[in-house]
Amino acid sequence: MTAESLEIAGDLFEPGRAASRPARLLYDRRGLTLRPVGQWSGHGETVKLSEVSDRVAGVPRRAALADGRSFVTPDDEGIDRLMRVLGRRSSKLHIWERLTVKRLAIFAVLLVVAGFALRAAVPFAADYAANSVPESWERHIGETAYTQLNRIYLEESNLPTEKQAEINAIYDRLLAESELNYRPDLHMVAASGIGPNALALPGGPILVTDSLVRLADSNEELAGVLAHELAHVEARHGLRKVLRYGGWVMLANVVFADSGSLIGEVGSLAALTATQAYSRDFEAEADLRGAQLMQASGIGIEPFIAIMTKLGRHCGDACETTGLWDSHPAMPDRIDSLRELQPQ
Amino acid sequence: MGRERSDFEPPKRLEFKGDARTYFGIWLTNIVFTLLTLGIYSAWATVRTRRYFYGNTYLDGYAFDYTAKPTTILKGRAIAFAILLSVAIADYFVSGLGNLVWLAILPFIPWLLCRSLRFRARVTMWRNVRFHWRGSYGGVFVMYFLWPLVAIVSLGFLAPFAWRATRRYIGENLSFGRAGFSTDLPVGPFYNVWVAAGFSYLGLFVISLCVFLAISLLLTVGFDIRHISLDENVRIHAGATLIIVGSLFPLFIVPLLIKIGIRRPLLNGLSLQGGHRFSSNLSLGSLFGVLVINTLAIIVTLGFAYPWAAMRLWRIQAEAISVIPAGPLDSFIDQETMRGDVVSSEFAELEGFEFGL
Repeated sequence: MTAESLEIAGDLFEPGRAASRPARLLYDRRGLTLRPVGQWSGHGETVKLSEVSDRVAGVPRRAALADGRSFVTPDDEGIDRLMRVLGRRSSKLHIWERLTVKRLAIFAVLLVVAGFALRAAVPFAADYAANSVPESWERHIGETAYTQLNRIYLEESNLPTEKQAEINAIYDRLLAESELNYRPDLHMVAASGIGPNALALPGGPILVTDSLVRLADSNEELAGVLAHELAHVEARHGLRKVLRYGGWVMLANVVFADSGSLIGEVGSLAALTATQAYSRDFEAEADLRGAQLMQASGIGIEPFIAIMTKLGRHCGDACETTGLWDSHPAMPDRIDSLRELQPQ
Repeated sequence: MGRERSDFEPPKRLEFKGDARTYFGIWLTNIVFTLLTLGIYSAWATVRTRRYFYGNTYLDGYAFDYTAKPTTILKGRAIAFAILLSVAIADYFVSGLGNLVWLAILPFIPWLLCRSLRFRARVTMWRNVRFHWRGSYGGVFVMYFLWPLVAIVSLGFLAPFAWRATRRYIGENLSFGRAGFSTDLPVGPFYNVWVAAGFSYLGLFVISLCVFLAISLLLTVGFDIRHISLDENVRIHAGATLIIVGSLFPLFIVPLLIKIGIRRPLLNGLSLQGGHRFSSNLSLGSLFGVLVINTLAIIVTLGFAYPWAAMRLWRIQAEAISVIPAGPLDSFIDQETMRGDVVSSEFAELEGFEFGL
């Protein structure tokens, strides 16, 4: 086979010197030679190629020679052909970077596929991580969060002691049906800022506000909310949600690392959007499991539906529809799902 | 060193030959590949981006070059990631422990910053000669910890002195090959940047608030006239969002205005051994205009204008800079310091800490 012959024009630099002279890199039967331009036309000196910089659109290529000199040239095609005839590998990334409709389409498809794959992979990885967190740690996180909340937001409950005892009693009935092997603390609190509400912190403390107790017409109705929160604790939703969010934030940070702070904000927003979708899934799951606990403890679903209807009415239009950034599904949908569970 | 021929060397302006379309392709590829490789490609993305920007910036017919290896950067990022992750995990499980871990890491931070600056300088090249930086742990500690403290304690009034001190420290310890840079920086121009930053912050904040008021008026009065009354909650929600966006908007602009703005007084007071001088005529007004338009364009296009914006910002900075040679620019010679650094480079070169000149 006859070797291809080619010639590349560029600048030759002595090692560590800024001074350069024009030169030509030649490849033919005699191998790779270097000839200064316009000096003499005899044999060039034989040279060996060391490292060659990757191709990036329009950026001059730097070819290091084995003796420490550098040959710099804008001739991308020439260098690529040289690498080919020398049988050396060179990066093909620049081909991807050249915009064409076809490549844009491939990118769009890849992004959609990656999006779906990550939507499955991130929760999987996060749940795996959550599983390896010991229960005692999770409970410790919840306790710490409760202590902090207590200091800032919460006040002592105004409920009479008898009422509190009744609530604890019905809570214990639900707890007996759950798979938890410990009793998450139940705190009744006065918190003016959040209205009739209840929340479950990771691994434990469940908080119920006085105004929720007042909104409920019976202890059984209140049990519906307690069952829902208990389901969150049982399935470790708090920890899983935080870890899933962390996964997306990490990913967004890396992907947009070079694109400035504004794009970084867009990335965080995307992470938040993904997390709120998980949050809605968890809420629906907790409704379902809560309803099971209500049935198993003999209270039934009806009081659960009643309290949810009241909560929906209290919340107003904001709870009527589900938005991209809502943490809970729309109330009417949640109530419909509960109704479907009801034995006819 | 100054020879008589220096009088005949005209100033040489930096020239940028990149274009937004080409960079868009590089940027999009970076994002897609980084996502597909769960972040590993980000090291290659950084190198290709820098090479595109440096390699299209020309001085006297020669392009700059960024010669870092992606694998080196990947190693640095993996270490930085491990540190941040351990802090986050520690803090998540035992509240307060993260602070303790930070406290334990804190003494190493000036060292890491020092390494990072040295790395950034060394991988930057022009005409086959590399930049070098030789700051010390103590110096970095003073400029990144003590001076900011001074700026804070003085309620910001001495911030320009802090800016000057850090730029001077970076400049004085920088060299191009064997030729060292030196600085002569009066504080006045730094105060110009300070005043401009203050006024832009106020101006942007007031404008954002006016826009917010106009929109909320439209939401309340405008719609009610047509008997389409928006729900109270929706109005409050929209209002709160606008206030937050309004107060955040200047935060995307003013820090950049300062960071880039103070490069002008630095360049104007910088000289290179051999008598070469530099000048920048980047006006704060045009910089401000570019930053505002960039930010709006990125928001309106949901991020897709980023390559165009980044290119514009780089171009006005680069093309404002001139080198005033005192002699031929081809007589520079590099240092021979490569041997000693290779050993420490194993774990010391941390890219991803964004700072420098």
